[in-house]
Amino acid sequence: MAAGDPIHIVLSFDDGYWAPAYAVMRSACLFTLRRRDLVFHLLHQPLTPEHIADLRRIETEFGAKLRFYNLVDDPGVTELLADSRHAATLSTAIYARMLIEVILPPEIARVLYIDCDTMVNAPIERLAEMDLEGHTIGAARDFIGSEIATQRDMIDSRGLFDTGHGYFNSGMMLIDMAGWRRARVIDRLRDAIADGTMKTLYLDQDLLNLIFAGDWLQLDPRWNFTGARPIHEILDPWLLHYVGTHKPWHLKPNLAFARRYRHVMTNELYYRYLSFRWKRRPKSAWREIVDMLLRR
Amino acid sequence: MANRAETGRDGTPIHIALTFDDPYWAPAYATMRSICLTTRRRADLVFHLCHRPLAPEHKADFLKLTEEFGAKIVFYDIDTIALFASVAARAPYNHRLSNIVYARLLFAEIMPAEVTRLTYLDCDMMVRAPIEEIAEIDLEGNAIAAAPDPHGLHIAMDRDIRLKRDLFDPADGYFNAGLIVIDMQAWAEASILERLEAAMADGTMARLYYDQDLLNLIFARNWLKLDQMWNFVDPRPVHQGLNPKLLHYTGAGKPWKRTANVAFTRMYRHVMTNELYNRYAVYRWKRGWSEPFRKLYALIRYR
Repeated sequence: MAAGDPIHIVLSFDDGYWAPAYAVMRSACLFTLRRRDLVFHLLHQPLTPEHIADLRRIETEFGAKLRFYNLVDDPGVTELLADSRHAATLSTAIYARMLIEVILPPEIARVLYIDCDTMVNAPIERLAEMDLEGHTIGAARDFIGSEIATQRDMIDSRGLFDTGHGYFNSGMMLIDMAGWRRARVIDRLRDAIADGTMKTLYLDQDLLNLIFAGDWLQLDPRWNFTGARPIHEILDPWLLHYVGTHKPWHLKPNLAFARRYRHVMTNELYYRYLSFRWKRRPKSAWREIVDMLLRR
Repeated sequence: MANRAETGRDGTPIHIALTFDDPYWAPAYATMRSICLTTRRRADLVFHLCHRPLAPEHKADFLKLTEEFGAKIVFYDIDTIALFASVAARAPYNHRLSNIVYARLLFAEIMPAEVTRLTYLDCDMMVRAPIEEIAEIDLEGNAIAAAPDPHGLHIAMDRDIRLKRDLFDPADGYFNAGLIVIDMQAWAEASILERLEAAMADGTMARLYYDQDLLNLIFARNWLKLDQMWNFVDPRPVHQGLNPKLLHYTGAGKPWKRTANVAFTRMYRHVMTNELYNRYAVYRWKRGWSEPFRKLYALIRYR
């Protein structure tokens, strides 16, 4: 793998997260000299035309390529997503990453999946072209993974996890597609939904850890640095993952490189996204009453 | 370029440069003493001090390092160098640090010919590891070595990381100029002063963050990336466990202030020595009365 070879990156989001997705892509472009090799595969729910236009600016600014995959266009995908929705309350978009083998073109041998609450801070090819040493997945350890997997008193009462395998955070996964296909991820997901296991799991991250136990390479934590605060900036994390309730697109968050995030998203889009979320916020009970009175 | 075979053994001088105004003599002393304390090659150290006029008692403080450690000290009163006066008068005035910052751009002109390798340090630093580890590092063909600046993107790139894209590429990285290991021949060949003159003439200098930006422009893709631990910016007490090798107190809290919430403050006091630490506090207190007037003067004089 060298300059000129494509670097495939997968993002999965619905329309409400178009702006963070844009920021992830722009951060990846800013810190690499191989901007023209980047191919972003966007698995999305229906997007509005103006949001598509925003995302397309990545192509004009950096020469990177964008591929759009509207998940509702694919009946098989829609059915599976509907099934998995029963298992969890999270947006369906996140489950799309379980289906990459049927969504992406079959000739792609390796992809890098990244969550949309992240920011890249280093040349992305150093991660995307890393030697997986025969493993299917390259990922970073989840700092609280053992608690997620074994739960109360760290006793694996469900008989599912062995803490000896470790537990990875699925917000960043470097994936060898041949190994992924061999693991029959979709069948395992269907089975887990059918026999009820899925209801007891922590979303698809748990399932991925079950499927790939012992088959993932543990990468430097700086490639998926969760929960970074300003005090961590000096450690120069290569990929910041803003887990938790505070997100860098909020006003004045106490997070590492929050100011940089605004400039990466670009100020215009940052403030537009702020007003977008303000307009979309859930109506309070008081506002419902006022609206009702006004309608009379 | 300095040949590695010729350096790296006892008896080979280690050239170190600092630039400061008289009021910063005490922090400069602390930086130098921290270097002496953490290397065994004390007698090899040669400190090149580029300073504005120094009070005799402050000069005497420095000479105590020769007594204590056998390190050599060479003084350069840069105000007597016409070239510096000419550059400093025309370059954008640095209100935080004064125009002493430009002194490091003149190293090729100031330093004696036998200095082939030079390690420059800011005066708000404390060294905690043998300095020869970086001073004699293999530069791998690069002109300089420096550590990345975690906040470099804000400094260099401006709004939306777009406004200065004609000058900087964020993918190239950005170093903090507080610590620079210099190959003197490559430094001289870079004709820094000519680049500075050109940047002042065509208006580029007005868009830059003083000389740090300029050095990043000149040495883009020509610098060896040092471990971050060798220029640990804004260290706080929570960072002590990481065992940084060189602390760079860039924040508003400076270790010579008693209440500063920064890493290793107590060690810093002992490195500066308690006598000087207390004397420096008194010195600053006395100077504090006239501070607003001096700031006002600088504002008017160097608008």
